[in-house]
Amino acid sequence: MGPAVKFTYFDLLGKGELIRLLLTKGGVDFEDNRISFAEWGNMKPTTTFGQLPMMTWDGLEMAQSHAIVRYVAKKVGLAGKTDEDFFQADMILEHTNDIWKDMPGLRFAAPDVKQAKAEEFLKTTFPKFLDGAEKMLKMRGGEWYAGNQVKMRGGEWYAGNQLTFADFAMYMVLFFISWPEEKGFQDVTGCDGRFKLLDNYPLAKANFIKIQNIPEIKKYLDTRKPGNPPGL
Amino acid sequence: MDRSVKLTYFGVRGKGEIIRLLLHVGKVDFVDERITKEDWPELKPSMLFGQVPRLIWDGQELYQSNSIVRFVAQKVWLVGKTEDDFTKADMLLEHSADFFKELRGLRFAEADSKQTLVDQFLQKFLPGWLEGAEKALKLGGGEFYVGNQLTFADIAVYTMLSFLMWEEEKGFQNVNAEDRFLIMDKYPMVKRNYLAVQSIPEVKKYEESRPDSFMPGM
Repeated sequence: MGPAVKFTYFDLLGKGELIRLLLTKGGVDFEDNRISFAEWGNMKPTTTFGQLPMMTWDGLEMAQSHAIVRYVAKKVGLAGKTDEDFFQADMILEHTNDIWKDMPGLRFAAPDVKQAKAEEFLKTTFPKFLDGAEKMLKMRGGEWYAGNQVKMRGGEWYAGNQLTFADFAMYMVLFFISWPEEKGFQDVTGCDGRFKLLDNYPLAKANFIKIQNIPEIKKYLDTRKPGNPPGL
Repeated sequence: MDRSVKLTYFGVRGKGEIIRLLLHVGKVDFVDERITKEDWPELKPSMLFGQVPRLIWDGQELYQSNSIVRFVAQKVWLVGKTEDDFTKADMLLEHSADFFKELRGLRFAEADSKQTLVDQFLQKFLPGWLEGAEKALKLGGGEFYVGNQLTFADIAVYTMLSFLMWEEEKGFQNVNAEDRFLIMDKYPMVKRNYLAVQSIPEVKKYEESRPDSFMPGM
């Protein structure tokens, strides 16, 4: 019998979805406990850290989304094989914070500055981030064939020459940028073609598509329901 | 002499200080390379994500401050005894990152809104943050945050509380923030742990000879 796992978060993607993906790929039978903001108000004082997401795994109570990511990754074999692999993956996970920290600013911007923020993000922040990601993959070296039979020169995976939590972390960031419902790009103009930016980063793009097509993930994504509120 | 461990960061505490303390407590012989704004433009392109801190450990190039903390902690055996211990310590490192994020907001606040932000920090954010730390200590047995032994969790929380207690801390300049020196008294276990880390010989020695930050209070 597997571990008793309960994952508690709002009914959103947000900081929780990466963990849900890892649990899904890891084949963990978990309770996906989605609560409302009102329910959280009542629950909050009873928790140690007063924050979501939260997870209990065989009695161990955990908070802090990235600490949970690292824990789950180790438990389900998505943490590489060596300390160095783990470090590489961890570094990529931390790198995604550079995008995450800008998301609230984009999503909850005042109407009169939202357009400018979205444009600045797509012009400067996002390409700079992708530069780092593509560089990382190029550094891995090697060759492989992407799904469309194109020969890729450079790494297939972000860390440890295998699927790790790093690939999922990068997947989530790129997903948010590509997502039509993404709140950060609602009520702005001229940003619909934003995902085309990724064409300048072939390795990052190929990795993104690869993660999306992992059978367990594809199945999960195909049946995922919209959250409440949407676009977050 | 050829060294195998070199930390490169600005000559401030900032995101480098937890790493420095950890290396000292872990008794690692390392080069503490402190750079200035003038050095930076030339160095920046050689950094993987264009950022510091960077740690070179036996030829491996490491970036992202908290990834480096976790890596060093593993190497110097300050990670507790089990996977669960590591995760508990990791949570507290993340908790410390929450603190630092708020502190940076104070440091770069506009003059006319700074007092309001400092008040919010001291009256709303900090009590909740300290409450979480106190709870964690209680769960951990009272003396250390995790595993009944010193881990990177104690070092991380200590570093944040040091910013709180630092006379020169930029986040509290030119505002009324005297309360900050007294608030830890309400969280006795946190205070005791803070003082205990402060008295670790390697910490004491480092702090006595630590160079001033070239940007004061940072």
